Formats: sequence, C-alpha cells, structure tokens
Amino acid sequence: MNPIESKAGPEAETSPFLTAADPLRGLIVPMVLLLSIAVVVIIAISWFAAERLDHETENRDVALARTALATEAERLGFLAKDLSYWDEAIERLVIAGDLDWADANVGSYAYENSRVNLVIVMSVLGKTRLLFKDGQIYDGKVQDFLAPAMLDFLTRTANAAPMGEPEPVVRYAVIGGQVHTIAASAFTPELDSDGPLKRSPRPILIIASVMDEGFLAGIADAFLLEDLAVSLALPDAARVYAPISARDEWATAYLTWNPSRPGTRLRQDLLIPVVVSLLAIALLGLLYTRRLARARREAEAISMALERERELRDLKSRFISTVSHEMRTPLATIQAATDLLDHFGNRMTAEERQKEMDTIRGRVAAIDDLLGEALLLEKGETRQPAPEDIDLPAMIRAHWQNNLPSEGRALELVDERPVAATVRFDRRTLSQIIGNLLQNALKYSAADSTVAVRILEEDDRLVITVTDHGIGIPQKDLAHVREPFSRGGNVADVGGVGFGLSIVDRAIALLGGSLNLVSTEGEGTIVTVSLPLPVNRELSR
Amino acid sequence: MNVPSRKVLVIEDEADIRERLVRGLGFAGYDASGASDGAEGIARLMEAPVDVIICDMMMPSLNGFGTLTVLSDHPDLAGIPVIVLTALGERTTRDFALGKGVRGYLTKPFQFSELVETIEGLFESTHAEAEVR
Repeated sequence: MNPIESKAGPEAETSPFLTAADPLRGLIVPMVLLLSIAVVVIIAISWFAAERLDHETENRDVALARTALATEAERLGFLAKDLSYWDEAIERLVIAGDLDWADANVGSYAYENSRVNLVIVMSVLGKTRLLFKDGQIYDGKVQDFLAPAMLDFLTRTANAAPMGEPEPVVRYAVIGGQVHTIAASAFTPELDSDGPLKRSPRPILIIASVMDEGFLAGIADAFLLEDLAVSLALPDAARVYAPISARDEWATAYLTWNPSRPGTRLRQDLLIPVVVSLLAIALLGLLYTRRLARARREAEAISMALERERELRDLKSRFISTVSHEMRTPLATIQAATDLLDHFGNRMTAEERQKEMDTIRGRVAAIDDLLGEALLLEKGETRQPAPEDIDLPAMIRAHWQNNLPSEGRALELVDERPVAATVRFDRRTLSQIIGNLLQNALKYSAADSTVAVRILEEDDRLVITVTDHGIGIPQKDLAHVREPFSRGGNVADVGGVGFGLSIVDRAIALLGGSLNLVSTEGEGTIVTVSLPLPVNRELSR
Repeated sequence: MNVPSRKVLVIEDEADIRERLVRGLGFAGYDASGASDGAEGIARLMEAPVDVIICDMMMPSLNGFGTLTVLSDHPDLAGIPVIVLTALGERTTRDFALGKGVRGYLTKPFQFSELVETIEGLFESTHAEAEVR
C-alpha cells in the first residue's frame, strides 16, 4: 500500500460518545418499570391490609354492639331481681297497694335513677296491681303495653324461677313504636326459717326501659360506635348492625351504626400519595429519557463537528499534496520544454521548436485552469451566462482530441436525437461538464478501453450519458465524490485534486439539470446528465 | 556533454515529460528510452538492462514505491543506479526512496542540466571507484 495514501485517508471511526450514552439509556425503562411494579405491589398489599382492617373492625364493632345490648339486658335483669326480693315490697305493692310508697321506691325512683319508664306490678291472679309510666302513676292495664302472648310468656317464665333465687326474664318488645328492653321477675318472700317456701304462682314485677337517645348515647360513649340507631326493620343500605333479640327468636329490631372503616380511610389517604408517586416516577423517567436524548444529541453534534473538522483537515492535507503534484507536473513539463529549447534548440527544426512553445503555453493554460477551477469552487460562478448555439457532438470530439490524453482509448459517440440540432447553453458551463466527465472517464480506465457517450432527448430534456469501463467508484464514496477535493478511495496514483465532479455538479445546477451516478467498483461508471432544453422551455411558455 | 552512449530508462507516466526527457537525453548523447509506468519499465529492464534508471513516484498501476521495491529486491536489477524524479517533496517519500538505495532524488519542476549533472555524478563516482581498485 502506498504509504502516503495510508496516512491521508484513514477510515472514519465510530464516535466514542455514542457508545457511552447508550447503556444508561437502556436502564431507564427497566428502572421505571421496577419502581412502578414496586409501587403497585405496595398498593396491592396496602389494599389487602385495608380490606382486612375494615373487616376486623366490623367484626369488633358487632361484638361491641352485642356486648352493649347484653349489658343493658343484664342491667335491667338485676334491677328487676333487686326490686322483687322483699317481703315489704310484696306487702306494700301487691297486698296494700300503697301508691306513695310504690312511687318513692319503684315508680319515679326507678324512672329517675335507672331509666325505667314502665313499671308494672301484677297480682297472683294476673291482674294489674300498679302501673307507672315515665315515673307517673298510670290508670290502665298491662295489656295496654304488652301483647297477651308476651305477657303470658313473661309471667310463666318468671314464676318458674326458683323461690329462693328469682331469675329475671329479659325480652325485647316494641311498645308505642319504640323498642324496649323488658325484664320480668316473680316476687319472692324473704326466707322463713320455719317452713319451706311453697312454689306456686307469685306476683310479678315487669319493668321496661326504652332504647332511646339516652340509651344510644350511653353505648356510643362506652363502646365508641358512631351514629347509632335502633331500627325496626333492617335498612337496605349496607350498614353494620346487631340484631336486638332474645335467644332463638327472630330479631325484634336492629341496632345499626356507621361502620368506621379505618382501612377504607387509609386507602383514601394513600390514594393521592400513590397516584402522585406513580406520576412522579413516570415524570422522572420521561425527564431522564429526554435529558439522555439531549445529551446524546449533543454528543452526536460534537462528534459530528469533530468528524467534520477531521475530514476538513484530511481534505486540506490531501488537497495540498495532490495540488502540489498537479501543479508540479505541468511546471515540470514547462521546465523540460524550456530546457530542450535552451540547450538543444539549435538542433531542432522550426516546427519542433514551435511544438515546444505550444506545449509551454498549453501547460501554463492548464495551471491557469486548475487555479480557475479552485477559485470557481471557492467563490462560485460570478460571470453572467451567455447562451449560444452549440454543436454538442463537435464539442465532445474537440475535447477528446485536443484537451485530453486519450492515448489508445476509443470514443464511441452515439447521437440518438431525432434531429441532430444545435443546443443552446452557456458554452463555458457546458464545456466544463463535458470536459470533466470525459477526463474522468479516460483517467480512470485502461489504455485500451472504450468510452461511450450517448446523446438523447427525453421529455424536453437533453440527456448525456458517459459510460466507462474503468476502476469505478467504491459504494461508500459514491455519496461524497461530488464534494470538492473528494475522490474515490481507489484512485491510487491517478493524478487529480477532486475538482472534476464538483465542478460538473455546480455547472449542471447552473443549467437547472440533474446528475446521476451509477458505479460498480472495478467495472466502470455510468454518469447521466439531464438538462432542461432552454429552447423548448421558451416555446412552451 | 560528450559522454559515451550510456543507456538510460525513463519511467514516467506523464507523456509530456517522458518524451521531452527521452529527447533531451538523446540530444545530450545518451541512449534513452521511456516507459509509462513501473510495470512496463521492469519488463523493459528484463529484456535489456540499462546503465541508469530515472523513475517517477506517482504513477498508475505499479507506482514508484512498488517499482523501487521490486528493483531493490531483484538480484539482476539491484545494481542499476536509480534517480527518482518526483513531484512528491515529502520527507517520508524521500526517506523511503533513499532507504531503497536510490542514488539521486530530484523534485519537479527540475532543470534538465541538474538531471544530467546527477547522472554524470553517478558515472564519475563509478569511474573513481574503478580507478581505486
């Protein structure tokens, strides 16, 4: 390999910036996913725990309500038992019917001290002996308050209790639209040490306590149940409740309250932080992705700028090296011709001397052209185009014969136009196109090969195709060969500065045409130039 | 410049320069011929050896770097003195050429008299070496 080539054209390396940014980028999605899964798992556990907490709390509340009801029943039972266990009470209440004593010891006493709003004393025969309602003597019968079945049950059961140890019966009943706890107990005389107590029907004490607001407030205070109510029918809404019933019987009513649902409250409290954290995770992921993308773009931009800088440097160094060679070659020819004339002019014929002079002028013109092309590429065409009628085949032949070292190569010129008319273009611009394309076709092909030029008209366009069987252009260079100073990587020592195709490209652009390159390395290149025909364009206007 | 007819081979791809060198050397009394690249030059040398080779560096097909390598490695051709004539003035090229044992290094554009003096110098030193023996 040529040592200069190896220095001038190192392959483009991939940028280190790009590979550095990639692994982090790959971590974002898994990290966001992992965090989200963790949050979702925590939510699921919390939800399950909250549900369980609600359930446990509900069970606890029901147990508390049942305890409250049992406590009330027990309280009233004790009271009934306490009041029915005296000889004096039997004497005064049942036998004497002493109203004042009854009021002071049972009626208003029980009402004010024990929330008992119904006191009934019944004789052995089942007659109403005394009746206090809300602490006041009431002129009526027990049947005004209690259903016969309930009354029958209470008296029978109370009477069945042992003589020495009266056992109160507790039931619930709706009296005057309100639910009451009712306790019934048989009066029991004090033990007579002489004889056994006869077990026979005894007078009965019935007391009732309404489940009113006072009762509910007491439960709420003692058992921390909120919004308590006593309902005769079970409400449709899914409130928690405890049935108010004696054992083995249908519920008389229901004690209901608002479930406290601490789990639900916890869940509600959790909801906002959970949503916020999920959003935050998503946002962080998004921000991070954007930031990485920006960093990546910046790195790419820097890398591209560096790459461009490097390419420019390479280009400059290649340019200096190739231009110096391109300039030195015609200068060397001029020097050689001058030396020939100087040293051996006297041995040469006039014709030979003239030929040397022409060569010198030709090489000076070539250097001038090279500099002109460099300036043209640097500054662009400043001259006004001057269209004129041109005999295209003649121009091609002239270039082939006069301006190029065609040596042994053959030109195959085919004019396929229906009428071989002249074309109207700016001569210098068209000449730049033809000259450079022919020069490239010749320079990069073998000395015995053929260069084919085809001229045709297609849809009001002039199409010129130059086909050679030269070294071709490597695929990777095809996109760049139109850039100034850029040449195929396979040009080796074929002279040139990389101006040709860029000049052609600019010239074609000036004429409003297009350039197409098809090339296979080692097989050859087909260049197609398509130019809008100015004459036809004018006619179509 | 009345020198016995020494054989000189000019390996140079630029026809303009090659032809003028062959012609000028002919006028100067040398038996000069040309070759358009390294491959052609080596083929000619195999047919008929010469007294001195003038070689360009940048040429299509086999370039000067390849040509010098082939010449220096070839048992029959290694002894022929070579003068490099190139547009490449870089130190790396010069070092390469000198490393291959070239006897003269001229950069383009060059003066014809300079080339002739270099060739003459070669033969004089060869004479001197012969006389010392």
